[in-house]
Amino acid sequence: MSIFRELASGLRALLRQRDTDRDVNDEVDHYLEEATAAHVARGLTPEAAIRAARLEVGNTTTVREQVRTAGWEHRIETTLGDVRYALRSLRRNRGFALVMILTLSLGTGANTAIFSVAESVLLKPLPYPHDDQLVQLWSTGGKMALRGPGARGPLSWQQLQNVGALRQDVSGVAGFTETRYNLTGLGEPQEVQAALTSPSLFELLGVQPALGRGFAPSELHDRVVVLSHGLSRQLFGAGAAALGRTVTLDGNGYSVVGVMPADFAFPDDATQIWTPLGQAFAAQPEMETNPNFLALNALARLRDRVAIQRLGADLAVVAARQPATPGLQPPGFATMRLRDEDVGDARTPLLVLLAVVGFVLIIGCVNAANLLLARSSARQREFAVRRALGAGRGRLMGQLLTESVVLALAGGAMGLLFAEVGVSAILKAWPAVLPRTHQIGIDAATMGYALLISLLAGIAFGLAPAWRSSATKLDTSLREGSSAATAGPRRHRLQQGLVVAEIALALVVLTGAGLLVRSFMRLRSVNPGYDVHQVLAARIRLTPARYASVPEKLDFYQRAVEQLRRQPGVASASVSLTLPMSGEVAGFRWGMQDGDYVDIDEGLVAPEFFRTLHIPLVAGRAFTDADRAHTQAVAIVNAALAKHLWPNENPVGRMMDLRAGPTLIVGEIGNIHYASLTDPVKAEIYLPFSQGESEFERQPEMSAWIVARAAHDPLALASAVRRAVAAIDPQQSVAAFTTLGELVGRSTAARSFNMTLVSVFALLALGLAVVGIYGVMAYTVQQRTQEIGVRIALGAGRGHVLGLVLADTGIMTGLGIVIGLAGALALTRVLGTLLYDVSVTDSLTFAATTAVLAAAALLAALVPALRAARIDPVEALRSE
Amino acid sequence: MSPDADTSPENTDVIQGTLDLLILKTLSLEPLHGFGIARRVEQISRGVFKVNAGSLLVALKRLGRAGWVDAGWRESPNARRAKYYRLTRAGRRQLEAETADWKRRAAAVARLLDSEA
Repeated sequence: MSIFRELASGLRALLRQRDTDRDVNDEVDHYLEEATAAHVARGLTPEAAIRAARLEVGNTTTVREQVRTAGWEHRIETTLGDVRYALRSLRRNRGFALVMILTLSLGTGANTAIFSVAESVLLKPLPYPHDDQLVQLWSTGGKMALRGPGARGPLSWQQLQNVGALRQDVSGVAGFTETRYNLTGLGEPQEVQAALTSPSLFELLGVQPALGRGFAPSELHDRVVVLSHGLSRQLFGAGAAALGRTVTLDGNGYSVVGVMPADFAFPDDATQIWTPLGQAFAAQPEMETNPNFLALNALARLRDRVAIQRLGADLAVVAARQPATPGLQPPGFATMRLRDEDVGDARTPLLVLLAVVGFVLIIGCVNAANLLLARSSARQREFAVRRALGAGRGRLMGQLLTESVVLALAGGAMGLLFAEVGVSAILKAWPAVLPRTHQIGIDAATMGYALLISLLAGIAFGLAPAWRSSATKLDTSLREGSSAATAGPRRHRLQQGLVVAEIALALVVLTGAGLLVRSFMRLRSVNPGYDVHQVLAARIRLTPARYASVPEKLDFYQRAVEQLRRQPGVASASVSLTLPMSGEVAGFRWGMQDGDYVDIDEGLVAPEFFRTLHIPLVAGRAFTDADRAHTQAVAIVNAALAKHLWPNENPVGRMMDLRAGPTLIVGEIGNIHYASLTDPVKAEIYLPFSQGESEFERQPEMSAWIVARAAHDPLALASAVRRAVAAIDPQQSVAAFTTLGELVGRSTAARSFNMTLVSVFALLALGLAVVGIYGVMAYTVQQRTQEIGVRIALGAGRGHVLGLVLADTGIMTGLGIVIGLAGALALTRVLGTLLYDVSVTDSLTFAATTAVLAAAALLAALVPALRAARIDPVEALRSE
Repeated sequence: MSPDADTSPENTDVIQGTLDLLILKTLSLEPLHGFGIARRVEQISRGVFKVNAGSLLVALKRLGRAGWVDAGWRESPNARRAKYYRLTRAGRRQLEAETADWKRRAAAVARLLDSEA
């Protein structure tokens, strides 16, 4: 109860200050009056009575102050007063305030931006209720293990049911697979990304469609769809217009029963349509009936309080019941929380970035502290007067800290603006590197973080200067001409120490950036083995219904390529089943004579493919139109495969026993990097497109890539490709126009992200450190003006003075570099996984960044040093 | 307490807790203004406790916030405003509690001082 009274009285005092003050004054006056009256009653004269009363009561002003300042609201009053004072003083020193706020805003802005990203990716739960219960499942062992240790793959329908039967562990399971459909009948034909799912998927995730409904269990085999918000809007406009309409996918009509919310993205951002799994079963009945047909991604939701380990143990029991193939590893299951799977590789780079921006902020705070220290020496008299008037040290420190915090908060606010801009720029430049990009943004948590670090920064950089300033010696400061006392050696030592710290931190960050840059340059200098310039690639997926037989498919592609070759601006064109760096690869394991085996990647390409990509033909010939469906089966191997199977011999003319039967090797091409620039070169074999019947039969859904080399601009060929395709089949959609260069860029996007951001912050750190060094040296020179004047007057040469100042800087820089190198050696090991072909203690990088920093530091000190050398001794001795 | 309090042996400084108790007791007899309370305390303690003006008014502010005393303004004979304080019901209860506590502690101290240890 008394808390409310406490609050209420305090608030009343704050808001009705004048009335409250009047009350206190009246009361104290009345007290004095009564005291006087008491003395008069005792027999004193009125004057003696007043005097005695005053003696008794003491100084009325002091008493009034005592009463007025009792109570919690006084502290607030004091703080508000301090804030007002700070704002006034900053307004008088706009330049100083601006520099401080800018410095701090860069530091806090960078931190806020990176925190916003890191928070969404690492901390925020997935947008599903109780997302920590969602678990992704894979199958392991069996044929999967042949791909490598820890290889995991999809489940079969039967396996999914078995998992679902573990009712004590999971409350539900759902399987899904992805495919693409040709959507026609609503404007231009377009390709849409679809997920074929168990009807229970939405329920499992805990998300309701924004409009309409999800799937009922009975609808497993029905032709119903749920659209994404984006697709619904694009096809039918805003609102519920989509419900009940029909969309034609691959020639079949599907009824729209629901539309998902705008921020729903499962399994990923690209998914536009969800339809029940039955559609997959219809295309491939084996998926439902064959227990060894592994095609489903699987999700399960754990029951409350069930640990994922328990599920793992129970799954092991289920796996043990499955028949094992002799010679292969026993089948098993792997599980991982969906949340962890989602974060993937993003954790380390984000943590590194957080550390880097943390360092940048510290450097910014050091600069701020030095600026404050410099400025406070000019305010010595002000502090001395306040101390003399009775302000305690704590009070003075409080006021100074308030000034720092006000500056820091202003910096933080401006930093928020920088962060907003920064985050959008990051998302625009690297759209595919971070998971869950639609959740990344400046939200309440981020703003709270910005506030927190601003406060902490304000206290951090304000503490030392406040401590120093409040320790003013009253006698020396109040005397006239007291400048001699201001540049105390202890204050200077502190500033120097701070600069050393700055330099060390800047070196650490620069070295990290240097390593990442070196690594990225090494990566980009890797020759992919083909010419990425001027080649356009377009993916085409033929509607199964319209091109039911394989010969029809092959015929379409070949005619489309022929059409394309006739278009102007096309230097050469071809078609291939897969493309380097596209994320798709097909391969098989081939057993050799001596019981050994080799993993071979397989490509299916039409004539002119190697010519289009400028892949060199090392021996033999490329495919021609003479290689057709029923002529001799031929193949082209790459140098790696040739070396493996026939080292030091010409592979041309040899025979290999492949799926199509005895195959004649007719040519050898140079090695290319297929999966990514960092993955090692693999053995590859290429078969002619025209002889690819068995491939197409195995995977009827597969799309193929049309590639065309442009005489000039590859993207201008896009319309040529569309024309060529439309000439054959106007109803056929073309998806994913891209250039080979873009594909390579995408494969290095994550590294480019790390490198660019760390480098930007490293340059920021360097810039701040340089400004810091300049500031401290300029201040030092100014403080030592008299001393330097004396030296020059006594005969010191300009060079000597220059050397004096630079030596001062040199010592600080040297010390900072030594500490920084030690720190860098210790800390850069965390970059290990992010570097390509560069050691974490790469001497060239360390040497280069040290040199850059040393040069920058000396340059920063040069201007003040030159100014010192040019000091006129007469002026110096005259001035204060 | 203010640093310029009288430090002669008969005018012992009154510590905060005791001051509260004395004020509450004084007001339990009749409502008084600030100086009146000080005078009453001085009189009844026969000069042992001399209350400092600042400490008294601060203590009264605190007691008011705790809800143990109420304040009201009256007109003094010279047409000045005078603030009178009175004990509330909660204050009366507090007075009883603190009195009992004080007596208990005083007895304990007395026993300690009288013991042979």
